[in-house]
Amino acid sequence: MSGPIALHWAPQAASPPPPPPVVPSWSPVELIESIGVPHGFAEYVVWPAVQLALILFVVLTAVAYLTYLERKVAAFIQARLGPMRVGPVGLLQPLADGLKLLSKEDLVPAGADRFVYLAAPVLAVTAALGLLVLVPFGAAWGTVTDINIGLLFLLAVASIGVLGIVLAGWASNSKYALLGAMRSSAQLVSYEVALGLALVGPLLFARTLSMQEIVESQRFTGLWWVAVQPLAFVVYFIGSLAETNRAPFDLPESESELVAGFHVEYSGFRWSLFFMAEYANIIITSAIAATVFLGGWSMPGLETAVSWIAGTDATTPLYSTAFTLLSIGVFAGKVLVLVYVVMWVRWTLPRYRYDQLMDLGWRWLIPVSLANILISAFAFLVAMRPDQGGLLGLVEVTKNGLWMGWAGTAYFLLVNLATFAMAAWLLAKLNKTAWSTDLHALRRVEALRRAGRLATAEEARAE
Amino acid sequence: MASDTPSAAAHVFEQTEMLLNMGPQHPSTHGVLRVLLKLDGETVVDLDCDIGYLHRGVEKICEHDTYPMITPYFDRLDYVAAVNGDLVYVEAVERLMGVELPRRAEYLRVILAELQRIASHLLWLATHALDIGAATIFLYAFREREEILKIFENFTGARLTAHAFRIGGLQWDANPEFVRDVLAFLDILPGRIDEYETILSENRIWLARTVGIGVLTAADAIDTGLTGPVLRGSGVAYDVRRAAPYSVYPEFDFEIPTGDTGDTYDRYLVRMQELRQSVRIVRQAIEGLPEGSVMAARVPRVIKPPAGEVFHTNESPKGEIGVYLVSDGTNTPYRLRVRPPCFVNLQALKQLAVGHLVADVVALIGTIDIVLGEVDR
Amino acid sequence: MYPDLQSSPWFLGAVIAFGLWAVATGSVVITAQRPVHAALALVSALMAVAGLFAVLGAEFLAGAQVLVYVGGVMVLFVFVIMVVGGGRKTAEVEPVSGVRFLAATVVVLVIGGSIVLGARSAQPAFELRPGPRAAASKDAVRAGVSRNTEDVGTDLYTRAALPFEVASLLLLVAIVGAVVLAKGRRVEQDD
Repeated sequence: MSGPIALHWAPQAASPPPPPPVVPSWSPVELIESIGVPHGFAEYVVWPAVQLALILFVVLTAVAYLTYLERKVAAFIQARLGPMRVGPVGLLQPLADGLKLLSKEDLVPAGADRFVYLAAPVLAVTAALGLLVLVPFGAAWGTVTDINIGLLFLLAVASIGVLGIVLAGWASNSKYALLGAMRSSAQLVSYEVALGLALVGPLLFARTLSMQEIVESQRFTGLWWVAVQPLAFVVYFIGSLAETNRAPFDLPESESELVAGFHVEYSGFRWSLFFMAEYANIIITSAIAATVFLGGWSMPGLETAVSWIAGTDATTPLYSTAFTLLSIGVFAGKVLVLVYVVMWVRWTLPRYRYDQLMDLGWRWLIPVSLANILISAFAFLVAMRPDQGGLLGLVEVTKNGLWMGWAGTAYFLLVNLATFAMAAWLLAKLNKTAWSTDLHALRRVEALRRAGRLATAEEARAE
Repeated sequence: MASDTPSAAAHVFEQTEMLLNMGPQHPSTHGVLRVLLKLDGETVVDLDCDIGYLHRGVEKICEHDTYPMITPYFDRLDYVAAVNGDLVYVEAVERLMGVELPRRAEYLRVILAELQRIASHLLWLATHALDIGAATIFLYAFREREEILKIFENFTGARLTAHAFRIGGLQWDANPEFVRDVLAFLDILPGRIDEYETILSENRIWLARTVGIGVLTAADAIDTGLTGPVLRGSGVAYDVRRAAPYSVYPEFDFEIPTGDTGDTYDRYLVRMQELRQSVRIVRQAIEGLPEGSVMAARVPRVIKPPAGEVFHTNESPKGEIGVYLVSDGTNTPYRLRVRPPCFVNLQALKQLAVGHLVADVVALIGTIDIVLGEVDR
Repeated sequence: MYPDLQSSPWFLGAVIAFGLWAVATGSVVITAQRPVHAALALVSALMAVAGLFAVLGAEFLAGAQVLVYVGGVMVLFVFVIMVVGGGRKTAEVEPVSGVRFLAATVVVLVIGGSIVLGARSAQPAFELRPGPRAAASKDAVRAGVSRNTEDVGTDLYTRAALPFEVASLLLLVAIVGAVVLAKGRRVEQDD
């Protein structure tokens, strides 16, 4: 079992932990069956319907209160207070806004294609809310369902939202809306590529596409994948900002230029549907980030916390119910932190111009994520055990997950540092950027070049 | 037609050039300015400004008003830098009449004019940053501007159109709170300017949006007749406070910041530096504030300057503001002509914007820093 | 997916439902009067096909179908249709008469015949792989890797490596062509 390099701290010395025992749990499906509903019906129709209703209620309220949170966060960053009048500390503001929007005139612009105009916001919202069935809010019954291509399904359905935006812009019969829609959809499609590629990195470690399994794999290995794939996390986060049309990538809906872009002709409830789709997308991309990179609903010490709260150990149904509930809380906390960072970024950074935005996506994020995949995969292969096809024997792919000892963890952390450095070098070469950190010199050169006073860029670099 | 929809889409894509109308109602044109853009895709091929939406006939009205009645009109030309507008007019009349002001009056005038310059530049920073997308700077700059407006309210009774000056000096003397408040404000402002610079000056996105955008060479700027930070950003160190000094500016020690490449980033840096220089001037003025009266002696009740003409210029925050005053000996002017810096500077928009993208037009309107009250009069 | 799904009524119901959905929206595609409506119906039909893939055990293909076809190709289709004026009503549907009627009959007979003959053969056309979930309950700890994903991936890079590379080469040629066409329009643009 030893490779060409004998490492006495390699995992073959210590065996991976046995898989945790299946804990008896209270099953909501059994509860439904006990009132007389037939088995299949209860499991596939009634209980999912209850879960969906609960999730929709919670998430739609969350979306409404995200608008409130955004206004409060913006206000506090801008040295003011935000909504304060409606309800205590302005807490009923979303209710007031919702009522106002519902009472507005329902208009369809003259010359607009009526069917498409009405269908576009529905498409956008459906794509956003349809992803909720797969988000692993908590352990066991904390998720509506879990399919074995969970992550792929999430990316796929999210890409349908792009259609909603394109159709909205076109159907409004307005130049501004059309421009906004074109830009927005091109931006979304470009950043989807970077997003998908960034997610491949941690999948090397998680070795599954199923959302619950990704969380379980991080629990099993004892490591959040962000520690071994920080570059992918950064790329994913930037990509998710672009996917949800948030600053600094919010040019398609920037108020000061295109006057709200693709949804300029929508008012009242239809407009709020677009808004709902945007905030639901923010929640979902943050949820994916929390699941894939930050350990999802798991937390080191969660089990002890649950035993302490429930008063029992891991053998009773009370324990597993408490575990599920607490895990939902942990997940919500992580998603909230990420959503806060998204808002923080919006109110701090200026907006990218459209060509700069596309440049960032294609020439920076995609090469970085490709390099990340390449290097991570190679490093992983080298680290595997020889009988599994590798070299160093630092990492063991077991039936239940990935096992690595301290050596393996240190190895991957070192590899990541090297990946960062290599990515930066590669980018500098590919994009012909000077290594200079003197921004003033750089900009002087750039300005002269654009003013046409320098014939070529090479001449510029020589200065 | 109803079944043949949507027409705008086909119209947009059947030709290579599109006519886009920005304004007169638009969040970024800083007033009622209508900009007609001819676009090839995203690139601006041609640009035309349609002005006059705020024309109020100020110059004609002035021919019928007595000299003291005219002063408030100058507040409302460039309503963002009202005090500087006041200053150039009262100085023009005083020059015609040959009135000598007591030193205390001159010092107070300089203090108020420089505070107004700071307020105007803060508003410029707020709106420029907001247009480019940094919404938070807008709120921060307005927080500082609020302090200045409070000082003005305490001194003159009004925040925006302060009507601070009279022909021959000022109406009221400064109260003790004035000196205290100004000094307190000067203590906090440099730290806040550092804050803005931290957020913007080295920010990659800000640099990407402003470096190399709207490059104006010094020769072009002089040929177009531009003045103010737009000219100084291209490297020409022309400031009326040095070139043709007025009031007591020669007694103060300050620098004229200039840029070297003439792009939007340079104009941003020039204005940030001007903020600091204005702080310097105000501090020198308030620490050296002499005693005395604030109104010149022997200024007649009815202002009738001797027949003659005068062209007097000042450095307003936007550029060189001038007043050409022709008096025929009566109590109303024969002709009053304003040389508005924003109107002249706006000419540069076409040559700056052609070749850039639509998103840059907004940054360029911001960098020229126009106020439609002055453009249209 | 469950080992006994194929015999359960859910399976048959799902296949019929998705099939009907695909046929219905497919007919809207060819009869819609505005091209944009046809494009939207095509999106719906492709989703139905993805559903069929999923029910039949090819879940990776289902996900890829939605991600690539609907999210990428159909967006492009909609772009193009918008550019060429997709809102205008196209010409009326022409009646099928004469030679067209003969051709249509032949096609229907051929396709219908193959379906009927295929359904009547005793051997199933393919085998449904047993699902990776060991237990039916949702409280099971591990669902396992998607077999379909693993199989598709392995096949792509081992048995189907050459067609894969050829396809990617074709796409590269298309991308280069698109870039050349786009750049060619604006000759004066520097950069």
